[in-house]
Amino acid sequence: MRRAAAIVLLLLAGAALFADLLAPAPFDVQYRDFSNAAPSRQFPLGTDELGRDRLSRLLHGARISLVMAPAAALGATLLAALIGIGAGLAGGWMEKTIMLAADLFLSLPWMFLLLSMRAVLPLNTSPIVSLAITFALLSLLGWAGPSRVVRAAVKAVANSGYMLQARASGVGHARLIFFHILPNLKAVMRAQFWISMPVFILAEANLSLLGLGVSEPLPSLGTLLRDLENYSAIGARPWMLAPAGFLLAVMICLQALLPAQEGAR
Amino acid sequence: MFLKLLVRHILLLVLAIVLGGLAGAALVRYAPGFDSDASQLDATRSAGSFEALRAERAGERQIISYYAGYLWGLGHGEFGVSRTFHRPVRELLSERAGVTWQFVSFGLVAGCGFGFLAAIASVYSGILDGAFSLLSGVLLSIPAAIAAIAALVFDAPVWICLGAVIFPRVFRYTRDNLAEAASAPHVIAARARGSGPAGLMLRHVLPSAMPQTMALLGITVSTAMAADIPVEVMSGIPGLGQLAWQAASARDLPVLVIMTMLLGAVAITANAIADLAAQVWRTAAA
Repeated sequence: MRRAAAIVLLLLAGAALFADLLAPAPFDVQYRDFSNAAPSRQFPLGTDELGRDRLSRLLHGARISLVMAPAAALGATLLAALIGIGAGLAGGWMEKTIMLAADLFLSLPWMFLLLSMRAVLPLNTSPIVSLAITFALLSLLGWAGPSRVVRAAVKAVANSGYMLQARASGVGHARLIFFHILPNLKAVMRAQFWISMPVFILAEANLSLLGLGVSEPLPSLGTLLRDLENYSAIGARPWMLAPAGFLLAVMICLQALLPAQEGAR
Repeated sequence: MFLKLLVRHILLLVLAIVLGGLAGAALVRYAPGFDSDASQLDATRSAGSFEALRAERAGERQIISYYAGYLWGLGHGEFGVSRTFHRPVRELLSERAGVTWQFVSFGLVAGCGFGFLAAIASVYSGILDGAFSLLSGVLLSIPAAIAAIAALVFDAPVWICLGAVIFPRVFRYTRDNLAEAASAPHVIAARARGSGPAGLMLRHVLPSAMPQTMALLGITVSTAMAADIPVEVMSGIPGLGQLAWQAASARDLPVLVIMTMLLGAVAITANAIADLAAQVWRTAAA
């Protein structure tokens, strides 16, 4: 099951990464004479209402989401590691304050936080800037949950026998962190990275559907799903569902690759 | 232990309300374009009107004094006036809270109930476990906004979307808890002494797994409220989720501050109740 999921995910990610080679047309060129066209040899997935090739937009949009979501997940994991290690090593009131801040952060519904933060940032920006803002925000807001896990792992490592011996031998703080603590956090951080990635893909989709994500004409899986707002047209043009199908396939493969307990969390 | 937990939750609640509101106010105050709105382009307004608008905004520019005044008003039951709707925030909240309350509670009951029953069924049957795991995997992969569109397409009640968001989380977590509890030595001993499946579940497995499951129920409230925003927006339900989206999009300071406080308070209260109930259960079981 996991192997099949990995193969499908690789195929989808490969198609997205090589969008420039596989896409039949540029993602932003409008063929006005062919708006809302049905699938054909020229447009394998038809065109949208502005006459843009749906397949090209899907491949480029998937590339953006599948590159940017892991980048955001990496950023969030590193930030969480920084905060978690800081809290775990500092201890005392500093640790309590940081963990209280994480609790406060986690107490607000994630979507509301994301929405509020995105809405107060400039909205009339270039598509590339909107893309950067959207995923940077995901990265910045995703630290709270993982930081608690990292801090717990740091506490466990810091209280271990070999750390005590290293400290007693006069090993400095920097060496302790880089040579003794960080290598033992790799598994925890890898797990947090994999957990964050599907969450960020979905968050971008929700944010873009609400009109606060990546802006046109740049496609992302979220912006492509906005077509479905015109749901009365789905019956006549079922190929509109292709981005939803692509997203579902990517997400199911990612879920299958996560260990069961991590998926539930 | 119980008292310590209670004090911690109360402290968290007060901090969430005060700091959450301040953070919301500060975010809007320092957002680009805070000082301008569409009314400044209204050619029918007199110079005096523009001056009055400027004076109104000037009061909001000093964020600490604005927020202190706001909290003072809040203490006296004054929630301010929405800049977007030109109506008292209290009125907006009371109009929409009922809609959201009904919507979220239906979704919560459906999601938690189905998730819990599916988890119990999964412990008994491998086939059901596979089927429910697949269903939960699919549901975890769908954005809440798309679930709302699907509900509209199939003419289904929209609260099902919230149930669909909550079900996989409750199902997977509860199933893992039950499986862990079922493999405990005292359960194996009871089974060896001839306890039937129903007796084992009711007398041994469920009581062991309940504290963790109860704690999870608190978190589902926050999950439901997060999913409620895109679902209400996509399906045009005039509830608090839609109001939160409108307030954030229009940078409506009075509404945004109260929404931050309200959502934080509800989430923390739900977590606190679940946590304290789990603690009471543990104490009673011990």
